[in-house]
Formats: sequence, C-alpha cells, structure tokens
Amino acid sequence: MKSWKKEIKEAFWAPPPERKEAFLLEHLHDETSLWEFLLSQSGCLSKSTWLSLAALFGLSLLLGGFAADCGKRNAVWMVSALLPFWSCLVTKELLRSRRFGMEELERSAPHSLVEVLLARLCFLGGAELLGLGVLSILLGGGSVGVEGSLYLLTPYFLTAFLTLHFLKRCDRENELWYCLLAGILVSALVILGGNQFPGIYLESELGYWGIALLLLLWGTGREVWKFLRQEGTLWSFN
Amino acid sequence: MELQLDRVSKRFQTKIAVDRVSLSMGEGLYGLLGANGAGKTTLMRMMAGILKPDAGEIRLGGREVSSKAYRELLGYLPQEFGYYPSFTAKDFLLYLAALKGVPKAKAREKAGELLELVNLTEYAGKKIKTFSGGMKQRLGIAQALLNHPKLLILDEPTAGLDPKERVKFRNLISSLKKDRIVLLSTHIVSDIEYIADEVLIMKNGAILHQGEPKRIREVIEGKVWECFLTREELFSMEQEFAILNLREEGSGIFVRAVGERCPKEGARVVPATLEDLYLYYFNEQQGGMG
Repeated sequence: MKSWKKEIKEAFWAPPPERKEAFLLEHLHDETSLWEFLLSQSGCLSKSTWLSLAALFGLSLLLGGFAADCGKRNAVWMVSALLPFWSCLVTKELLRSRRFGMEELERSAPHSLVEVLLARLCFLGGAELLGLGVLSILLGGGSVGVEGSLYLLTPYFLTAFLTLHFLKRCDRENELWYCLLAGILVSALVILGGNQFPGIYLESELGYWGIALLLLLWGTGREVWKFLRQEGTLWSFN
Repeated sequence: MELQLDRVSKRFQTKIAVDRVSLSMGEGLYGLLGANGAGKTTLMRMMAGILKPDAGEIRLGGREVSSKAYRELLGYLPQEFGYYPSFTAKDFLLYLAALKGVPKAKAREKAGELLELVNLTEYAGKKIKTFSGGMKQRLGIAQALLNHPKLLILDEPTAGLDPKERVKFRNLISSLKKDRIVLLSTHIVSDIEYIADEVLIMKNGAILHQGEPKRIREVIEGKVWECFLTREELFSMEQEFAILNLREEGSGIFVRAVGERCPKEGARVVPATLEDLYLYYFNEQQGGMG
C-alpha cells in the first residue's frame, strides 16, 4: 500500500509553478467595489464647493427666518431665489475634470469619467436635496411639505436644465460664467415673480408648479444623460 | 498577450486623421514616429479607449477596447494632462489608484514604490503645481503604472524636456517593457532610436513602415549623401533633397542630404540613420525643402 502511494505520487508528480507572479498579474486584478469607489470620490469634491454650499445653506436659513415675518409664502420665494446658486455648485463640480485637464486620465481608467461624474452628482446633488429638505421643514415648521418643495425645487432644476443646455453651446473658457449667468437669471426671475406676481404662489396654482417641475425633471435628466454621454464617450456602462 | 488593431479609422469633418490602420503588437517597446499632424495622438487616444473609432476594432488579448476589462490592463500617459490644484504627488497617485480599482492599502504601498521608481519620493507631499515639466512627466509615468498595466501607452512623454531629462526618461521607459506592450509616440527620433524593438512610421494617418530600426533604415540605404557645396548649389539642391545637416566650413558648406540621385560629383554615400529616414519621408510630403 505504501509503495503504491509512493509510486502514484511519483507518477503524477507536478512540477513546481513557474512565472507565477507574471500569471497572477496578468489574470488577477485588484478590484475595489463600487461602494469603495464611491467613498473614495466623496473626499474628492473640492472644499470650496462644500464651504459654498454651507454658506448658501446658512444664508438661506437666515433669509428664511428674516422673511418669515412677512409671511410663510414670502419666506419660501425669497429663499428659492438663492437655490439657483445651489444648482450652479453641482455644475461647477461636473466641470471640474474639464477645467483642470483630468478628463483623459479619468476617461482611460476602469472606473471611468462617467462614473466619477455620477459619483459627484450623487454626493453633491444628494447633499443639496437633503439640505433642501431640511430647509423646507425649518422654514415651514414641518408643515411646508409638498408645496414648499415645489417652490424650492422648481428654480433649482430650472437652473440645472439651463446650465447644462448652455454648456453645449458655449466655449470652454467661459463655461462657468455662463452657469453663473443662468443662476442669476433664474434668481432674478424668482424675485420678479415673488414681488410682482405674488399670485403664482397661491395654492390654486400648485398644479402648474407640479407640471413645471415634472417637465424640468425630465428635461434635466435628459440633459444630464447627454452631458455624461458627451463627456465619457459613452459606449457602455461596464 | 497581443494588441490588435483591425482597419481602425477616424475622421474629423473633412480630415482623415487615422486611415485604416491595422497592427499587431506583442510584448516589447514600439516607437510611433511621425510629424505633427500625422495622426499619432488620435491613434493613441483610440487605443486608450477615450476616442471612439469611426471604423475598425481594437482588442487587447481578446478584450474589446470599450470594455472595462481592457481598461484594467491599460496604463496611459496623455500628451498633456492636468491635476486638481490641491493635489500633492501622493494625492494624485492615490486618486488615480482609486479610479483604477486599486484597494486603498495597496494603493499607498504602490504609490510609494512608484514615487521611488521615478525619483520623486522626497516630493511626495509637495503640490504638483510646484513641479517642473520633467517632474510632472515622471509623475505621469508613475500613475500609468499603478495598475500593473499590460499595455502602456505614452503619448509624447518627452515633449518639453531638456536633453538630460530626456535621456533619463528613455532609460526609464526602456526598463518598463518587460512582460508588457509599450507604445511610445514621438516626433523626436533619438527618443526611440536606441530603445525601440520596433519602429512604426506614421504619415497622413497611415502606417508607412513597421519594423526593427535596423531593417526599416534599408529603405534609404544608398540614398544618404555627404558633400561640399557652394551657396548657389545648395539653393538648387534644397528643392529636390531633404537637407539633414548644414555646416559652414572654410569656403564651402558641408551638407548631409537624402535623395534619390547623387547630388554632385564627388559626393559620398554614407550609412543611413533613422533620423535620415524620418526626414526623407516628411520631406517627400512637402515636395522638397522650403
């Protein structure tokens, strides 16, 4: 029995591995999960953007508190005049790769530029929407709800739609200025509307606000898709 | 593992930037030589998966260029690249390591190794905006190696470097070709003449020649001349010959030129170099000097 074992072992002797390291380098690749990748991106949003967002949030709270003395509806439209600039911050981050010449390096990586942009959109957009939610609650004492959200989100997404639309048509040097211009225009529109046409903030007009927001959500989604497609030379999402 | 290009083409409006290029490259160092506007960067961008070809296929070991699996094997150094203003050298490498899917702990270790390889260890904590051109290019090479690439594409990596830095770079690149495909584009012949296993000459979007440096020089063997000329003879010669070197000596001008026929009685044939070949091809395009 023992001799059989020995003979079988000798008959089926396997040679020691050769070029193991080269084989492993060729066939096994380091992998980070999507979650690890997203976490790594969260630290890459610029500090100035976070500081600006914090400043805008603080300013919105102060303005909201001040304007609340003039009535809840007035507080909401006054605060919503600041929201276009919140939206501009997201566009600023989406343009960061282009502005600083990192596009080609990011495009050629396994987690490509498209994923980087989506990560930025999710983090900053998510943080802003959370901030808007908190703002809605604080301004309305918990009761603003759907109405206040409509008034806050509509100028936000109108600015997002316009900035992405402008980006297709303007030269790269002046991109950020065009984004800021879009923000200023929408803000001016909100102030004009609130001042001169306060009737648009009546409950009876909520339906129109709802339709406008839905259209803007659809339009913004479409523009974001086109932007990602253009930036990432999107072939597939793998 | 092989990189295969099959009739790859790219057009920008009316200009054909890359014209039905088909290549097959195994492990080794390939020098892509061509003048400005020959299509080198366009071809390299398509191979790096950041520009979509209008026609044709690009595969690396069977992996299609648009796939994530392809990009996992790719290291790319663009002709020009930027950085986020707050980045130090280490931050830059860690950021790109995350994009390349290198886990954090491993990325720190790898970044340290690569900074040492390119002699930037003492600058790891310094902001990239304080770097010289040569330091930035070395950092660029380091990021291209983060994910143990099987395909390394370097687009004019020595542009803007002084001769001493260029030599250092050449030596570094030459050491990287083991077990990988390295493709290096340049319009400076000396960048690749001594280190490339194969040279590809590109002109008007097409590959004119591919082969070992010694072998492709044979195209102009017997066509490189040296002689002394007067100023008037030189002027008429410039229309027909590619002038490689001019030197005033005494009462005449010493000339080295490439051309089909003997320029003057007494001119002697000399062995051709890769630079002679390059100038010969690109002088033909211009229809002679001037």
